[in-house]
Amino acid sequence: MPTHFTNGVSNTTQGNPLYQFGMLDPTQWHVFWDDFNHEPLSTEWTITATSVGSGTSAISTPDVAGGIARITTAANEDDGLFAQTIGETFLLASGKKAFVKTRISVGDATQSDMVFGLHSTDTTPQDATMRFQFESVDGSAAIYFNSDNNTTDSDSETIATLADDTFVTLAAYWDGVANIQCFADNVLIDTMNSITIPGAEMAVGFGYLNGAAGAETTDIDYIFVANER
Amino acid sequence: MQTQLTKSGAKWAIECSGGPDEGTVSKEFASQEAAEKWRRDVTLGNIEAPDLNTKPKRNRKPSGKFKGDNPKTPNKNEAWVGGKTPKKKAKTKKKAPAKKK
Repeated sequence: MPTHFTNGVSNTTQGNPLYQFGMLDPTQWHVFWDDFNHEPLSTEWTITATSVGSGTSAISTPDVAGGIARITTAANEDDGLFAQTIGETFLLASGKKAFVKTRISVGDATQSDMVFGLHSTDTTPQDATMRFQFESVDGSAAIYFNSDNNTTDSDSETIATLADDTFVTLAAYWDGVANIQCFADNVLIDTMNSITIPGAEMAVGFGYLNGAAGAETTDIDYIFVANER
Repeated sequence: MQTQLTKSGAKWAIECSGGPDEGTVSKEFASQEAAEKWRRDVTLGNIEAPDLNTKPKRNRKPSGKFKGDNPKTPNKNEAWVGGKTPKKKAKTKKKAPAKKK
């Protein structure tokens, strides 16, 4: 039986215009949340696809419970797709906490390049000017967290060793001071210390490129990004 | 906007597409590097993104006035950007009111 707060719940103080609002103040956080109930549209996302081999790299939302964005790749090495929101709307700042969380399943854990998180707009987000994202590079099944402010490029330890077609939940928490905590399947794996965060606005982005010939399928269950105002 | 990089023979092409009311624009390049550079420059805003608006546009003279068709070039309509005459929309005929019996 849930606890019922029949008068509502509030996190505002007296004098706040939302003091009588019976829900938690949603304006205290800037939130991006996509559960992928519908296909990422090119009117909302910049989609960069490469299809040199047979087939076509594309993104879709197949009939799967819970909603997923599915990237299918054409069959050559480096075929694949990146998606990034059209606007760069997330700016990390000192004193403002931030979170990135995603759940993914990749086609080939080792022979692939992939990114999930925040980065400045770029068709090759692996080397975007500003990065605050999970990355895995071709030839390795390890996924790590990368924070780059165009001067200092910091990588975490391996946060998870990916397996083909197996879901993993990845999350990172910026404490607003100098530390980033990195989680895999909701377990703290590594804390990055003395981090200088990216100093410019970033877009939400994700993507997968083949590291070897052969069509692959990668699923993204959801992406959540939140930034304290 | 969605961009799709493909290879056809020795040429590289990028097809740009947008929303449901927009068209598709294709550009060809001699090399993969040139194609990827163009795509990156468009995304970074270094060069203008292709116009995906498929609405026909009238051609204008340098003075700003509308340009007319040149009757000497039957296969080209200089009055329109791209040189093609836009298709006319089919008019829906109004039904005549039913006669009173």
